[in-house]
Amino acid sequence: MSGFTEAKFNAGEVLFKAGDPAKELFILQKGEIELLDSGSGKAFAKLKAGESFGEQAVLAGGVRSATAVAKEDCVCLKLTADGLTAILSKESTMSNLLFRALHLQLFMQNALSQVR
Amino acid sequence: MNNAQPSDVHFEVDYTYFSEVNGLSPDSIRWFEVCERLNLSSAERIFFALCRSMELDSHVFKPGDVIASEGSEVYQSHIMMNGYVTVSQKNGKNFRVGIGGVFGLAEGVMDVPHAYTVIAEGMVTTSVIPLSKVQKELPRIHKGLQGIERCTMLRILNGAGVSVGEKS
Repeated sequence: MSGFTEAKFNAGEVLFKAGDPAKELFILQKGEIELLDSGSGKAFAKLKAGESFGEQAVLAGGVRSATAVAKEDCVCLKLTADGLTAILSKESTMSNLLFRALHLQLFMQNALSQVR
Repeated sequence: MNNAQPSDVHFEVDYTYFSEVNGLSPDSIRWFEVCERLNLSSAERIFFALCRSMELDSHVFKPGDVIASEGSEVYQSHIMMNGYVTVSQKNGKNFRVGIGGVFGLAEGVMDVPHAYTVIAEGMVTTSVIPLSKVQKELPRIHKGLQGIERCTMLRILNGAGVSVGEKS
């Protein structure tokens, strides 16, 4: 896929830490990634092949809200923030709108999911 | 969020500072600097970027109007631009959502029914996302973005308790 590069991570390797500037997003191709809560350090999500991660912080131009660790040897497709900008700049208005609106819907859903 | 929101609102973005970033490109360093200075949340940054690029039709709902009905087919997707809505599910869950709420988008694209019943509390203005245009656009979207969008939609629907088949 144009714009994406392959990145390999060894088991136990930290891809990014909570609080780091969000410079790239990933699509997991092989292996398993754990996302760790920034406060407790406990795993709150396990990602499998085909899942993307890190894109919300990249899209918002912010910092990581969680730490990502390779649970086993992993292969990812990596896209930098500049790469995402370049791809979106070539996309239609509707495509840009869909991409951003879906992430806004995910923010809303995450907020609703946290309500007990 | 920058300003305190009513305690019973479960999701809303603060529109106060939109004028500060309006006119700036979301890809520019200036945009990033202003967002940092104003301490905008990630949701606010995405909403403002969205507002800046939106050329969508508006729809105004009166108090009590049903914007979406849980389990029914999705014909339109809405982004909340003004007002508050009551969001509920048959399992008894109830929420209150304001500006920035998005309803029916993941459901509409994935061809599953509305996850929530959404009712206008007062006068509500939404921007309507034309699902027919979105569907038409899907095959042309960059494959990498398509993968991320599919993953995002599955997370949204999973969070809302909607099961998804393999037809999408």
